[in-house]
Amino acid sequence: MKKNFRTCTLVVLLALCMVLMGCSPGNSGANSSGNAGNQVSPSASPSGGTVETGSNPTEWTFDQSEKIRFIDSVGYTPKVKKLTIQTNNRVIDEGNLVDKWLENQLGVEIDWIILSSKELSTKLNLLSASSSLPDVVTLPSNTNVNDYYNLLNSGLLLDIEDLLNQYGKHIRQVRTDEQIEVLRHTDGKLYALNSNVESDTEMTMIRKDWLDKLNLAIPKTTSEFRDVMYAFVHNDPDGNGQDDTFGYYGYSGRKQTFSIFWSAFNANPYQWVWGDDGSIVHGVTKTDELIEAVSYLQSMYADGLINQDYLTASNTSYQDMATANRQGCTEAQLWFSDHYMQAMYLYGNGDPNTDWICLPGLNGGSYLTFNNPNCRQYTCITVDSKDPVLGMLYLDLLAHTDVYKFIRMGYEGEHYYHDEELGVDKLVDKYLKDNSLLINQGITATYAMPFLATDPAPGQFTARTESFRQARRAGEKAYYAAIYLPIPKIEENLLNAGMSDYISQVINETIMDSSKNVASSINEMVNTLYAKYNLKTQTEYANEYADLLGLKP
Amino acid sequence: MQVVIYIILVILCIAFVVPVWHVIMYSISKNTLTGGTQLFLYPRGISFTGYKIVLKDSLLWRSYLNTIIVTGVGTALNLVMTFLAAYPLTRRDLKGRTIIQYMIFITMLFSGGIIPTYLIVRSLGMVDTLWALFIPNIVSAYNIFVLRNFLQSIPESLLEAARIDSAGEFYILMRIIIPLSKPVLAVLGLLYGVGHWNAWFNCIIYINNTKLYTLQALLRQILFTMGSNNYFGYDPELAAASMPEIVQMCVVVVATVPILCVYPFLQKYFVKGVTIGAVKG
Repeated sequence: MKKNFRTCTLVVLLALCMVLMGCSPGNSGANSSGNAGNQVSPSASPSGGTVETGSNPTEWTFDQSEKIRFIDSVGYTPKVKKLTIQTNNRVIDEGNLVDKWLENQLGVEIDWIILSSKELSTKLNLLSASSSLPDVVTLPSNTNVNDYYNLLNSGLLLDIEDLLNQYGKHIRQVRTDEQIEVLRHTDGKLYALNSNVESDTEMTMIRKDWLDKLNLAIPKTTSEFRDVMYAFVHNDPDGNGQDDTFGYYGYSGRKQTFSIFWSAFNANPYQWVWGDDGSIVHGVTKTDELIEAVSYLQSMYADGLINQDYLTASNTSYQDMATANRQGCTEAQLWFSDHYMQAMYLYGNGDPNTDWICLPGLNGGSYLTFNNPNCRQYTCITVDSKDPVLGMLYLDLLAHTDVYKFIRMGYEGEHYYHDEELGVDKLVDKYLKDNSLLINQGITATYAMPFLATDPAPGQFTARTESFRQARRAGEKAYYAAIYLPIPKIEENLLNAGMSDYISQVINETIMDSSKNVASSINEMVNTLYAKYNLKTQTEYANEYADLLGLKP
Repeated sequence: MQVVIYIILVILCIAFVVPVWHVIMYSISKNTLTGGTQLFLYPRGISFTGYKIVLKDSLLWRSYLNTIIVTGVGTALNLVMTFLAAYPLTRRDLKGRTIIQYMIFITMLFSGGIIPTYLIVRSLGMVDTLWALFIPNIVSAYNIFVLRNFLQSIPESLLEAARIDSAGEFYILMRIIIPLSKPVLAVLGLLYGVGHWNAWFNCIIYINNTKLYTLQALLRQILFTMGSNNYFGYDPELAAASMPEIVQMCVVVVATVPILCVYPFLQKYFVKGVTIGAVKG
C-alpha cells in the first residue's frame, strides 16, 4: 500500500514539474515577452517599410459637421479594427460623446484600459507577458517612471521618430524640438512623447487689481514683495472695512509652496543641483542660500504676511479663499485661473473685477516651477501594436488644439456657448447635468491625458489673463536649476528615503517658530541628513544615475 | 479580570467603530465646514450633496449590478463546485482519494502565479467578461477541506440506514447530506459572498471595459482619482461642493453599507464558521 502511494506521489510530482516547466517563461521561446521585446518585428517597425504613407494628406480642420474624417484626410487605411489605449486614473463611460467621435474620426473601435498608477505595473506586466500590450500607453513620470524604463529596457516600446515625422504634424506644431529631444534615449532613439510639460508648471499669482487700488507696483524683489504683502494684510485692499485679507496664501505644506522664494534666494532644499565642480549635489548642502531664504520666510510668517495655517490648509481652500476675495497672492497650479474663473462665472462666486496676474520672479529668479521638468507623462506606442501608424494618428488627432477644445467642451451651440459679455466660452448647464460627475470628468480628463495640446481649453476661462497665457508658453524659461533624475523606483526610494519629508519638516518648523535660530536648524538638518539619511551615499547614487542616463554635460 | 476584559473590548470596539462613524458623519457634513484633519463625531451642517452626486452616476449603479451578479452567481457556483469536490472525498470507496486530496492540498501551498493564470484566463476568452471574476477562483482548497471535514462528521450509520430503506445515492445526497450541511454551506456561502463583494483585484486585472467594473474596483478608481482638482473641473455641483473628500466618503458608505446590513443576520454563522469542520468527526 505504502509502495503504491509513493509511486503515485512521484508520478504526481513529476506531472506537476512538467506543468510548471510548461508555464515557465524560458520554455516559451521566441514568443516570450522578453525576447519579443528585444526583437521588434519588422512589420511593426515604422522603419520596416510597411508604413503606408499618405503622400498628400488633405488639410484637416475640426469640422462640426464632420464632412471629412481625420483618417481620410491623412489618406491612411487602418490595418486593424480596434485600437487599444491605456490611460490613467480616470473612469469613463465607454460609448460617450467623445469616444464615439474619436472612433468615427479614426475609423476603428477604441478600447480603453483605464488604470490608476497603483495597478499600472501589474497590469502592464500581465499584458506584456501575453504579448497584448495596448497600442498606446501613457505612463505618469512621477509614479510610473520605472514602468517606462522596464518597458523600454525590455524592448517593448517602439522607436516613434519616423512615425512622428510622418504622421505627427499637429504634435510637431505644439511641441518644440527641445521638448521632444528631452526624452531621446541614450541609444539615440525616441520612445516616448512628452506630455505637456507646462501642465505641471506652478507659479505664483498676485492680485493686480489690489496692487492698483493700493497704488503699488508689481514687486520685483523679496523686499518689495514683503512691503506689498504688508499692504495686502493691513491696508484693506478689498475695501470692506474689515481686517480679513491674507497676504501670501500657501496650502498643504507642499514643497512647491515657497518655490518662488527658493528661486529668489537660489536655494534648492528639495532638489538635486549641479555643484561647482560639475557633479550633482543635493541643494540642501548649499546652506548659505537656504538659511537666507528660510530666514526671510520665518520673518514673513512671524509678521502674519503668510497665512498661519499654510501647513494644514486643504488643497481646495486656496481656491475657496480666492473666490471669497480674501487672498492677495498665492501659489497656483497652472489651472488656477481656470478654477477661479469657472467658480466666478458658473456659480456667481468671487468678484468679476478680480485680476490675477502671474508674479514675475523675485530678485531675478524664476516665476515658474516644475515638479518634473523633463516630463510629466510618457506617451508611447508599443511593439505589440498591430498598427503603430494608427496609434500615432490618434495622438496627432489629440494634439489638434480644436480637438482638445471639443474634448473638454463638446460642440458649440449644443454643449457650450460663447459669452460675448465676458468674452469666454461657457458650458451649457444641461450638458453638465446630463453628464454626471464621474462620466463627465472622466471624459475630459481621460482623453486629455496625453496633454499634447499646448493650450488646455483655449479661450475658455483664461482669456482675461494674458500674463497667465504667457506663463503657459514660457515653460522653457522655468526653474531649471533643479535636475530631474528619472530614476527607477527602487533607486528613487533609496535616493529619497524620507529625506524630503525630513527636510520639509525641519524647514516648516523653523519657519513657524520664530524663536528658532535658522542657521543652527539648517546646519543641524544637514548634519542629520549625512548621519541618518546617508546623504553621502545618495549623492553618489545620484551621480551614478546621472552618468547612466547621460545627464551630465 | 472581567473588568479588564470589558475595558479591552470597549477600546477595541471604539477603535473599530469610530473610523466608520467618522466616514458617515463626514459624508453628510456641509462642504464649507469640512476639510483639515479633524475627527467628525457629529455632522457639521447637514448636506447630502455628495450622495446626490454619487447616486446619480450611472457607472455606480452599473457597478452595483455587476457586483450583485458576481456575488450571487459566483457564490452559487462556489458552493456547488466546492460541494462537488468535497463530497466525493468523504466516500471511502473513492479510489485515489488520498492522492486527490494531496493534489488539492498542494494548491494551498503553491499557486501558478498571476501571469500564468492571466494567460489561461485570456486564452479561454474570459478577459473583459464577468466570467473572469468568478471562474478562476471557483473553488477554494481550504473550503473544500472544511466542508469535507464537516461531511465526514455525519454518521455513516445514518447513510446505511437510508440505504437499508432502499434510498439511492442521489436521494441520500439530496435528502440527507445537503439538508444536514446547511450550516456549513451558510458559512461557506458567507465567506465566498463577502469575498466576492470585497474583491477588486481580479476586476482590475481582467476587466478593461468600465461598464463591467465591480463596485469595489470603481470605488478604488474614484478614491485614487478624486484628489485631483482637475477631476472636478466642470461639474457645477461638485465644484460648488468643492470638497472631493465628501464624495470619497459617500462612495465608501455606499459601497459598504449593503454588506454591513447583511452581517448581523449572518453573524451566528460566522461564529459557527470558527469551529465548524475544525474537528474531524
